Amino acid sequence: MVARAPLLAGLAAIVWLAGCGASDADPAASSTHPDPTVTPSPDPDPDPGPGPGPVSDDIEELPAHRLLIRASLDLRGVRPSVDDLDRIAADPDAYEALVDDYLADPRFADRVMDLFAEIYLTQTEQYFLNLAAYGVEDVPTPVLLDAIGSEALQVLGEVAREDLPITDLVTADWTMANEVTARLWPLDYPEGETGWKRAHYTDGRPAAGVLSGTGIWWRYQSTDSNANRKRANQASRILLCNDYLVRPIDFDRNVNLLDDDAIADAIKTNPGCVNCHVSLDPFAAYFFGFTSFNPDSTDAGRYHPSRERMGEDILGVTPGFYGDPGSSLADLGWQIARDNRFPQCMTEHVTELMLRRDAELLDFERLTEHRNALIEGDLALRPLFRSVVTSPEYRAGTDAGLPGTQVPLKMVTPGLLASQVADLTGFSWTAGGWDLMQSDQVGFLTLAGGADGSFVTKHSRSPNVTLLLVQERLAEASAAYVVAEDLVSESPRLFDVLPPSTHVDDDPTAAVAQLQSLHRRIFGTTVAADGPEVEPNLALWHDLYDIEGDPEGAWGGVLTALLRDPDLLLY
Amino acid sequence: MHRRQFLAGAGAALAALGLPLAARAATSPTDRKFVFVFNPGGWDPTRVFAPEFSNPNVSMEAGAARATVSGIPIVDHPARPSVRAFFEAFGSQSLVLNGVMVRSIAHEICSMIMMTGSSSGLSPDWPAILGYADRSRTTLPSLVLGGPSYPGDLGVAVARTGNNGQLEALLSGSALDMSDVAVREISRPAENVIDRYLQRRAAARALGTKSELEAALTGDLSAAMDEVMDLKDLRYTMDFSTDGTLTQQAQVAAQALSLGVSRTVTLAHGNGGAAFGWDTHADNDNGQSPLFEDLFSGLLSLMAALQGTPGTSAPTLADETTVVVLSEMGRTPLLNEVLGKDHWPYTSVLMVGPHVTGGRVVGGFDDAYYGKLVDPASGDVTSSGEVLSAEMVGATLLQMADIDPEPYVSGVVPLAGVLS
Repeated sequence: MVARAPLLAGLAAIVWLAGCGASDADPAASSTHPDPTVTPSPDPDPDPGPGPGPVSDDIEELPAHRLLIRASLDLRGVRPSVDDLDRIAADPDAYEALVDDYLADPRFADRVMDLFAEIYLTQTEQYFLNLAAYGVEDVPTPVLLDAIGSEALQVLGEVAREDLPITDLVTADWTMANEVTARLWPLDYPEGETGWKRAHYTDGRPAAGVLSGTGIWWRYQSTDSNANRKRANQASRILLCNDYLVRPIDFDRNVNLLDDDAIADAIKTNPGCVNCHVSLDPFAAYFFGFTSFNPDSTDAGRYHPSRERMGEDILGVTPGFYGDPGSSLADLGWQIARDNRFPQCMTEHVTELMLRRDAELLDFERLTEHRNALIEGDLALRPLFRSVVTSPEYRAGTDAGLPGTQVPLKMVTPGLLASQVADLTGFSWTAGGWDLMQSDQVGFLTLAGGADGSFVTKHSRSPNVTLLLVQERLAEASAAYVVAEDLVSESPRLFDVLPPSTHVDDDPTAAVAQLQSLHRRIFGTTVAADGPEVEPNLALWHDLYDIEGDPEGAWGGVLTALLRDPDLLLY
Repeated sequence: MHRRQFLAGAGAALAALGLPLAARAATSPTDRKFVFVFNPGGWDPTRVFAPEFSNPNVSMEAGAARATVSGIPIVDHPARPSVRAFFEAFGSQSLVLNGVMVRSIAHEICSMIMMTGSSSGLSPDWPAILGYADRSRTTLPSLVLGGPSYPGDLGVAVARTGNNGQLEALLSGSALDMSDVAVREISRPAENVIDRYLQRRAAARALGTKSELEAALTGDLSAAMDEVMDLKDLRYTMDFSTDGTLTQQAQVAAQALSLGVSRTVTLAHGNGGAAFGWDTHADNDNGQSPLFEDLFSGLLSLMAALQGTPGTSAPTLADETTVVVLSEMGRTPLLNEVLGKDHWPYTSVLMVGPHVTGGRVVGGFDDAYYGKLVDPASGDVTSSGEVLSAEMVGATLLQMADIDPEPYVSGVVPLAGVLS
């Protein structure tokens, strides 16, 4: 049995082992200026105002409103309120206080799950088992798939929401369940209730957080010959940032891959094999309780304590974690929790996800700062996120001046595009229960630059034609939706100055004020009544009115244009 | 007239002139097109490409026999008449690469390696690189109808159509009809007005940048906006939706190539759209055989489509297009206890077209069913040669298009000996 040593012991001596790769940023990047004859709407930085102060002597910070938009989108999935924009305009030093507000927002946990969906890749739309055996035919397919794929992410979300130490991810005696997973798996989920709640498996499985969940191992199945190595590698990739499969495999031509005994011997003696298998196989030996024999039964939905030691026969090794022996998944959870690489990996994930670039060798010092924030914050995620979003790299408005690469502009994920538009307009794009921005079989996930976990494993980091088409139709639908809603609502979302049934010529002053309000709400910018954005918007309104024949159509078209703006994709 | 229509018109005119075959060889590397047919799950080369009947370490299929068709030794089987028919018709233009190594036995990693030469998932794949090089002339340089896609930093050149007509729905606007909440659609003239407004806006946004990275992103976005306009011009001409069959994907591919919409098109062939349809860990023969028959039936349709469609720089697409048929891995040579075959790091690749030396097999499998070493310069098997790797295959395709492979697969020598 593994001793439960204090988790923080020894972490002070951590040495960062980030991936390599020099920055390709050009320190002498040139600056260009827009053609003064062009009057774009809105200007990317019409009213930058003072930033929250220099983040270093050498670099320029993002304008305050853009920085706030970035933080709000990253931490809550929505754009900042007008009140927040006013607050930072009045006091640029309010940035960190606003960040704290955003971290306390209930939507923070949802953002953590959305971000880490790209790491976990559990939200797949194909499972290679017989779901009919579970008696859930009445559950709509999208609901069923979402429930299975979300279990592990919901555990992470709970850790983020409740400020639990990240070690709970691998040591907790609970999982997260809802009314669907409660029907699939043996859980003590309260009968008659709905929604995600903490619950416990009742089949005698060890307590190891996400490691002992069923959903993640339905996503990452194994075969007889694979012998749970795939599961071990996924745990290693997700939790330790150590992906065995990224290493080149040197197939020694002197080893007869046709001879099982020769392979077994090579795994233990051949340097090219031992390099991985010496640690991978004992790691894999922990997962045999998930072995199932009958794919047509509910066998795969249960954990089988009686099968835990099968790995010793099949792999020829006893369970262990880099030389530290154990006997059950609970031991593995604690071994990972005590491993210095675990908080390092979480730090690397969060940094890469927030900057939307890979960690570099030049990030060494900053990553150490972030990791220390995690540790000093009792291993809760909020201090880590706070450290990243207040770092110079995150706040930089240029891509030169710091050792690591700054990211003055980055692209939204499909989830972030959808959530900000939903917050602005109240519209969520669904069809038959499918979330069209998250589904690939029915919807537009990969066309919008998302990863499906099978054929596309990384979110796109640059825009392309299909993303713009997705944005177009989402904007069109959501604009039409909010126009229709605001026509009859006593608390309109966006048309707060005049109803969208108003012809602009009937009240030109109010029309301009409405445009100013839309710009403020959508782009966070303050547009003057005679500013360069207004006239093109009014011209567009008239052009659209001439075609559509009614003010609702014209306002819907103008709003569509604003929601299709580049600044909804790049932030 | 848009650039695509001009090019397509030029191709048709050449076809009408009936230019002699010699003109075909003159296709400039920069005009060469590619169709990738990806077979996810790991095919079994011993069912078509590797007639290892004399190798006691390989389980061959009952009823199968060695045959040489158009100079290419194949595994012939009465259940797969399309395989023989294909090599009879196109064997003289076909190059089989046997013993291609992918360095892994995990689907996702092997797919990345086969398509990019790297296991990081961040490197652009061969179609993306080839398409990106032709970005100035094509609207959707690398079109993906199915299968894996690793755009890397070249995402602006890559477009997926979706498995169920999603791109078509976006273009036509019918995507809004799918919504659970009925919404008012914008008329086509109004859409055009908004498009033009945003085109100006995107161009202006690209100018107002303060850094190299910002300029790159906004520049990509502005270019993508232009491509949206180009693509919409084509929506009454071009139909991107397919029913998932290789035959129908072939029709879309031919149309996209002929209209100059794309330089590369990636198709997927599998088991009813399953993510890894070729993954026959059990009952290998009854799984692989119908898949190969369906694949080669589809390839016959694809070749017919290429032959019957005008090219943009040659009489037909067949004169300027290389078809690359591949799977991410091979399968173990011996059957397992449930008559299946597991993952194997050596596989085969088929290339068909005017820019490879046809009627030829390069590489091979040794007694242990490892890939044989080859001399890249000649393509001949030699004990002093190099491993025939996925990276080498990729480098060869890039060289075929006159793209320097070095930035993408550093130090890898292309198989110059197979290019014609």
